[in-house]
This record gives sequence, structure tokens and C-alpha cells, in this order.
Amino acid sequence: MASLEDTRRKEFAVLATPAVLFVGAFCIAPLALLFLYSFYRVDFVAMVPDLNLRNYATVVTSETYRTLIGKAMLHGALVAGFTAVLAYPLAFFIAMRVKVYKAALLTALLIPLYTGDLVRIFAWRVVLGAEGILNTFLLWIGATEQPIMALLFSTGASLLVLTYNYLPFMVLAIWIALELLDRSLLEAAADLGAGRFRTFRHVVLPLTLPGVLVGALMVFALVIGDYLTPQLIGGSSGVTVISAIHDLFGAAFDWPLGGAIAWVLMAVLVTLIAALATLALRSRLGRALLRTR
Amino acid sequence: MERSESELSGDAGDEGAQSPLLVARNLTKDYGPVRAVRSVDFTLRHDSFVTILGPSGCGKTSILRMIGGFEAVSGGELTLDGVDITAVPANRRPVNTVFQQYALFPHLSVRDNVAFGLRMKGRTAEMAKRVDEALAIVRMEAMADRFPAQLSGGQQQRVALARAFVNQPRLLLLDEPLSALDRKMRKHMQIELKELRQRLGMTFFYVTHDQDEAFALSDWMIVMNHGVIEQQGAPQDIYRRPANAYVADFIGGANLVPVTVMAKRDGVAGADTPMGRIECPCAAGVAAGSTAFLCLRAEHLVLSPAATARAFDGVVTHVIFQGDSKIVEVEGAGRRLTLTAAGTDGVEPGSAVRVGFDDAHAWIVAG
Amino acid sequence: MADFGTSLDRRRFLKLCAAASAVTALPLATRPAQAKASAVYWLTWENLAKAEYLAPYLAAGGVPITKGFIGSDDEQFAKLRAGGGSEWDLITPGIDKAELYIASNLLQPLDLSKIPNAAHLYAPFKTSPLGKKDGKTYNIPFYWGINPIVYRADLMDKEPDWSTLFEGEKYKGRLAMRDYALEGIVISALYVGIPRDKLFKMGAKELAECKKALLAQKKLLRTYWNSIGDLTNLFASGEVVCAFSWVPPYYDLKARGLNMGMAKPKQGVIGWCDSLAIPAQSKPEGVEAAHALINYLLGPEYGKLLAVGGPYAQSTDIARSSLTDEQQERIFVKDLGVMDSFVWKENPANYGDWVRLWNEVKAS
Repeated sequence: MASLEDTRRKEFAVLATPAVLFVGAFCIAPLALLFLYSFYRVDFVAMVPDLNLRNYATVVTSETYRTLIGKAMLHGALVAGFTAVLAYPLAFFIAMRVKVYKAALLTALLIPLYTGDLVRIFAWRVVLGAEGILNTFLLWIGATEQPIMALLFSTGASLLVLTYNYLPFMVLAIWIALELLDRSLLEAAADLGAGRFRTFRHVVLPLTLPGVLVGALMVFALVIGDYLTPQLIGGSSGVTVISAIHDLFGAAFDWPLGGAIAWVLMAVLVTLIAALATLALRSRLGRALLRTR
Repeated sequence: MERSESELSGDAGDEGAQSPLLVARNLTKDYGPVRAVRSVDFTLRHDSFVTILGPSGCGKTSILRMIGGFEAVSGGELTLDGVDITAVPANRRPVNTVFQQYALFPHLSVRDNVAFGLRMKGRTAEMAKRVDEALAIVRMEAMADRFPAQLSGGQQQRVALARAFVNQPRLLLLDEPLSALDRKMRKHMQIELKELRQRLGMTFFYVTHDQDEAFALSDWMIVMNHGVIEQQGAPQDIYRRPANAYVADFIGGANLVPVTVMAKRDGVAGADTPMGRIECPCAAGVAAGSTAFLCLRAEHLVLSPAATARAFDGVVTHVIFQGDSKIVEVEGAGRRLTLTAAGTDGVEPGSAVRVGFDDAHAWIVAG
Repeated sequence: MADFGTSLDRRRFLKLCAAASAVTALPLATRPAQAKASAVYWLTWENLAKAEYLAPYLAAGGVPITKGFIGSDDEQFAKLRAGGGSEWDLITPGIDKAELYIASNLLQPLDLSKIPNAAHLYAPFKTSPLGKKDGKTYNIPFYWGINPIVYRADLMDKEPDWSTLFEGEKYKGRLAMRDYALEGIVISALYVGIPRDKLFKMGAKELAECKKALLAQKKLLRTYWNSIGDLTNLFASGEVVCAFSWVPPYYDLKARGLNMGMAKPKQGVIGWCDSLAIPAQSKPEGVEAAHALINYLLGPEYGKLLAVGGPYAQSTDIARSSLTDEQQERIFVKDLGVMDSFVWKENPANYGDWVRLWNEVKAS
């Protein structure tokens, strides 16, 4: 007779197999193949399995690819920061102050996500363009004599639209953290003499920081992966490491170098996230929070 | 501590010249169209243990939350030490609370949890010393650097207590603080709480639905039902002289035998009962010519009484063994009555028995 | 053409899945040899396979066509490299990429005797070495055009040429280039004066010269455009007044009432040409049908329909006489002499270096 333990194990195997197969076949296998290719050499249209580290040397020594990877990290971090600052009050408002229209507000927040990124990007062009709404307004009130060209097709414009694009993810992450926050803790803080601000500072913020961190990691990764927004909004400086990889895979047919850049990017990302996670978990706060329910 | 009859009317009885700690006047709480607390009045004395007892939904927690400042007062007023606190926000009331689920801050150590109130009030100079003292009082010094999730329920309970009383509030509110503990732990904590209160000398306002707990702890009890106070007084008085049938039944589950009140004078009623005419003290609402209840406690009913006692015949329907005693259910006097008896060999369902009681224990309440 | 492959990965993935299942099913589904094909599978650009263009072919009893559409030439190449060759009987690669396909053994030689219309190819295509290897023809030119400079004539005071895109300080921040290494670098080479015959054979020294020009150019640009629809928008909204472009925005915006200009710089105009080719794995009956389809696509009915509808020129002069002067002008075949000034795109041997250079410029 099969023990309960055996049954559990079988059940787990049955339930986990599709996910494992899927991840294995469509995520790990291509990445492994890409990793292998990154040691190849390209000879016209053939990939020669002449295994060496030349491609990695190219990535590391090339100022272009180093700059692009650094820029991706910087922009990811900046947008994560911007969204966190903007999202927190909004999430706080929805979680703590809204009662009846909570679902409606959250849905409204998500609507831009349903419109598709191209629609959103072109909507921003209408706002930020040289003859766009904002410039027209600024000219009309006399704040400027020439349209401000840098409103569109600039790094700033790109960061603005990226922030807008990924704000909902951050709001959702923080909102969930706030909803999960035990309300009796707020009463306890008030009971012990903390006013609104100090309750926020000493109780609400530390306990919802994990939500902010989750949101930040999500936004960070999404921003690094988004090459369309910088390409269409960032102007002549809108190149991203992702579009460079895309060019190498497509136009140049240099899969090995493309693979090497992709893997360096991934290594930097994973190291960064792991370092952040370790730091967070090692901290007193992290340890304390990890032990709660 | 016996109290005179007059105190039963509702006033908590000031001791000497000392003014009351807290006065609630016409206190009312509405949740939308639902009135949870209906214009209640009560007074809390200094240095006392007050429990507020009632079934769930009776309004007792609403009263605690209004005193704590977590719920707005819908009507009436609250005065603490002569100061109207009705509109004072929670963080500015000299009151602290022990929450039902403790509400310890999970991201702070035991020490920081206890220090929280002092830190918020900027009393950092004395903080360390007072936190250590408070932790010593609840015997949690050794756990000071742990986090709440590393503690057992009883330990969390102690930390929650320390976190509240370390601020030396005038009034400590406790919202069913023992309900999450197991029975053994609960008994133990009851003793600790009572000792702690005496040691601290502050007033505890304790919400519970458990009458045993209320009896064990309090020197003043407020019994609530449906948003009104049914009775308040010393526990013994409430037990012996319940104000009405509800209190009689809710507190200790008295046997209620319907009687007809023939006459009433000076708090003594004469009534016709299935056991003949009886004259005994009665509650305030009892009126001549009305139907009322003779209130007989289980421990005051005896089997095979002496010939002089008032008695009636009955048949045993159930016997529940309880170690040193038995709970016997008897059908007699037109009612099912419960009594407790010791050493009653041979009493079993179906036995014909004679049940008696002493008139001195009789008490009549209104229907 | 439209090199804007956002859905590229999904499509490639679906095709890979289809290919995988096709491979498993192969032993069971061997088709009887030399039977008449029930369908000819054509992988092409959507705008070349409009139903009305193909109606005469089907009316004449041609084998029914199953169409597949490509998003970019790179995607088409990747698809075939990944084993998609057995799915298609006819593909539509840019002729500048032909040698990549041939070198990868992805194509089979064409039987020109089954394509009588090939005799009518324009001279430059007849003599071009592109698409040919060891005396065999693998890619036959299909249709062609030029990528000119398009500009807002209402916002510029004179017709621009390549130097405008490199020195036009007056239009700083309102110029645009396509985000495409091959064309971007060739244009810079034309601007710095690299001889025509060396354009696609530049060494490190010439490429460095180009890079310098491109770095200077970047400061003048509003953006690098990625899809022709996007560029059309940028012209319409006035964000961009002058750009290295494709032809469509010129006609589209003229039709919307804008005063557009199209310049064909005397330094050289980039000409492009897409070809037709048969994958190596195509089955004999599919090959047969594909040849018949090629012959139709190079023939007079299709030529006229494409010239009027596209407007694009096919690679033969077979339909030219049936077009009005205006129609001929629109597809650049009125004065055939201009074809000699076109710079026909080729694939540089060191194209990887080109792409890296392009990324360096963009990342600077």
C-alpha cells in the first residue's frame, strides 16, 4: 500500500511535470544553446564550433557594449526609483482610503496595459512632439518662444514614457503589500502615541518595503527588456543593449557575439539581484520580515 | 468585598473623595443604520479591574474601541480624569491597549516593540530602564532580542502587555487578550494578569465573553446584551442578585422557574410557586401581579433534602459525571432543572428524586 | 521591406513548432513523385500577394497558392536556417542577401527554361552576378525600387542631397536616418566619397571614415526610424522634415495634401531588389509549380497590376509598354538610363563589422 508520503510525491510529480517541461524546453534549453553558441565563431554564414572566449573578450573590451549594459542598469534603476516614488502614494490611497471603488480604480490603472505599447508610445508622441500638445501649450502661454525639442526623442522622454509604462506594475506590487498589512498594527501604533506620519515611517513603510522591492525588481527587469520605447521615444540615442543584441542576431548574423552579450547582461543582472537579495535578507529588517507568517 | 444594594443601580460608587477615572455618559455607537451601543452610562474607578462581559455582538468591543479612540463616538461623551476625550485622537489619549491578536510589530524585536510607545513620546532617556523593567515584570528579559514570530502565543501575550503598560497609562484596555491561548495557558495568564494589575495599580478595562474569566479577574463587572448594559456591579452581587432573567441565565446559567408575584414591598416579593408560596428578595423590575422567575442556582438545589426544606418531586433525565461531583438534570416543578451534587450513588436517569432548596437562596427576577 | 519585426519571436516560435511536428510526420507523408501539386507554398511580403494581383494566374488554372508573410528579410533567413525550407516552395529574399542563402545551401538552382519571361529582365539584372554561383542561377530578380530622400518641400528651401543629412545645421534635430547598418553606412560612404565599386568592400580605414561622418551626423538627427509607417507619421507631424526614406511616405502624404519632395542625390541612389528563389528542400511537384508561379510573377499581367497598385516595378520590361508615361515615372522606368546611377545593395563580406560600427555610433 502506498503511503501518504508516496501519494504526495506522485501528486507533486504529476502537478510539477508540465511546468518543469515547459520551462526546460522553452526557457532553459534555448538559453543553454545560446550559451554554447557564445563560444562559437562566425565564418560568413556558418557558426564554427571553434570554442574560445573571443566573444566575451569583445564584450568586455568594447566600450560600446559596456556602456550599453551600464546604461540598461542605470535606466532600469532610475525608472524603478521613479515608479516607486510615484506609485507609493497612489497605492496607499487605493489600499487605505478607497473602499467602494477599489476594483474600479485598479482596473482603470490597468487599462493602459491593455492598449498595447505602440498605442501608448504614439499617444506620448502626440503629447511631447515639437508640434505636440505640451509644446503648443507652452508656446501659447508664452513660456517658450521655440518648441522644446528635447521633450521628445531624448533620454529624458524615454525615461518618462518607461516610467509611465511600468507604473502599474509598481502600484500593484505596493498595493498588495499594503492590503496584506495588518490594520491592527496601525491601531497599535496610534495607541502607542504615533501620529500619522510616524505610523507611516515606523510601521507602514518598513512593512511594505518588500512590496516596493518586488515592484522594483519587476520594473527593473522590464525596463531592461524594453527596447521599443527607447527606440521610438529616445531618438537618436535610443539604442539599447537589447536592440544591439537584436541587430547582431538578425542583421549581422553574429549569434555568437549576440549570445555572449546576452549572457554577460544576464550575469550582471543576476549578480546584481542576488547581491540585493542577500543584502536585504541579511539585514535585521529582512530577517525579521522573513520570519513573519 | 461586599457591596450594598444601592450600588447595583449602576453607579460605580466613588471611594471617598477620589473622583472617578473614566465616565461614559449616553455613550452611543452607530454603524450605518445599526446601533451597536445604545446610550450607555458607566463609571470606572481608579485602581480596579473592570470586565465587560457579554455575548459576541453585544457592543462590548465597540465600547473598548471608543475608549481607545479607534472608533468615533456617535453620541454621548467620554471623560477621563475630568477631561473630555470624546474627540481626542487615539495617539493623544493616555490609554493603552492590549489587542486581541496582540498586534505586535513583526519587524521590531521584543525590546523595540516595548520601547515603541516611549520612543513615540520622546522619552528616550528613561526608555532603556523602563523597557527592561517592563520585560522583567512579564519575565521576558531573556527574549528581548527575539522577533514576535519567534515567540509562543503566551510570550507574545506578555510582550503585548509590557508594550502597553510600560507607558504607564491611566487606563489599560484589554480586548479578549486571552482568547487565542489554550485553556491551561489561559488559567495561568488570568492569575498573572490579576497580580500584575495589583502591582501596577492601574485600572484594567477588560473585554471578554467568558464569564469564568470575568469572575476570576474582576472586581467590577459590566454585563451587556444588544448594546445595552443589563447590569453592573461586583461579581458576587451579580451572581447572587441578577437584575433580570437574562443576567440570571447568562451568568452561571441559573434555573428559572416561572412564578406569579402576588405582593411586593421593600424589595421583598411574595410569589406563588409550584412549591407553594414563597417570600424572598427580588430584583428592581419585579411588580405585584406580574409573572416573574424564581432564580435557583444549581449548587443551591439539593437531592433528598431535610424534611423542613422546601422541596418538590422530580425524575432524573440526565447525569453528567464530573469527577468529584455530578451534574444532574431533573424534570420537576414544570421545568427541567440542573443541579450539582456530590456523592449521589444510585442516581441515574429515570430515578424518582426529591429536590429541595433553602428559601434563603431564593431570588426573584422579572421576566 | 517593412523591417519592423516586433512579433518576430512569436512567429518564429510558431514556425519552429510547425517545423518540429512536420519533421515527425515526414515518413508517413511522403508525397507521390511528380504528381501535380495541390498547392504552391509562397513565403513573401504581404503587399506582393494581394488577391487581385494573382487573380489572372488562378483564372488560367495555376496551382493554388498558400501564402506566408514575412516581417523582415532577416526573419526569412532565420526561418529557413532553422529548417523551415521544407515548408515553402518559393521564397522572396532581397537579392543582396542571395549569397548568404546560397552559401548556406538553402536554395536549389532555377531551371530558366521553365521561366520564359526571364528573357525580358532589364539589362542590369541580366548581367548582375548577384544570385548566381558556378554558372547556375539561384535567385531571379523579382521587383525593385529605390530608397530616396523624402522631404517636406513646404519646410525646406531647396532640394536636399546626402550632404544635407550630414551637414544640414539649419535642419538640426529635424533630420532622420533609417536604423539599418547597411544603408546607413553606405550613405555615409557616398557622402565621404568612397568610390562606387568599393562601397561594399570597405576596409577598416574606410569604415573609420564613415564612422566619423556618422558620429557627426547623429547630432543632427531627430531619431533613427524603424518602420516606414512611423517615418510617415514623423513627416506628417513635422517632427522630421527630411530623411533617408522609402518611397511610400512621398505618395501617402502627397495624397493627404502635404507638399512633399523626393530627391535622388547625384552621388548615388540606393536601389534595392527582391528576388524569387526555391528552397533546396522543396519537392519536385512544388518546384514545378514554383517555376510556373515565377514565370507569372515576371509576366505582363502581374507587372501591370504591381506597377499600378504598388507602385513597384517588376524586374522585366514586359509590362512597361502597357503603362502610361506617368505610371512609368512613378516606378522609375520612364528613363531607363537612371538605373545606371543606382547603387544596388550588396551584402558586405565583413557585415558583422558594419553592424558593430553602427551600434557604436548609436551608443555613442
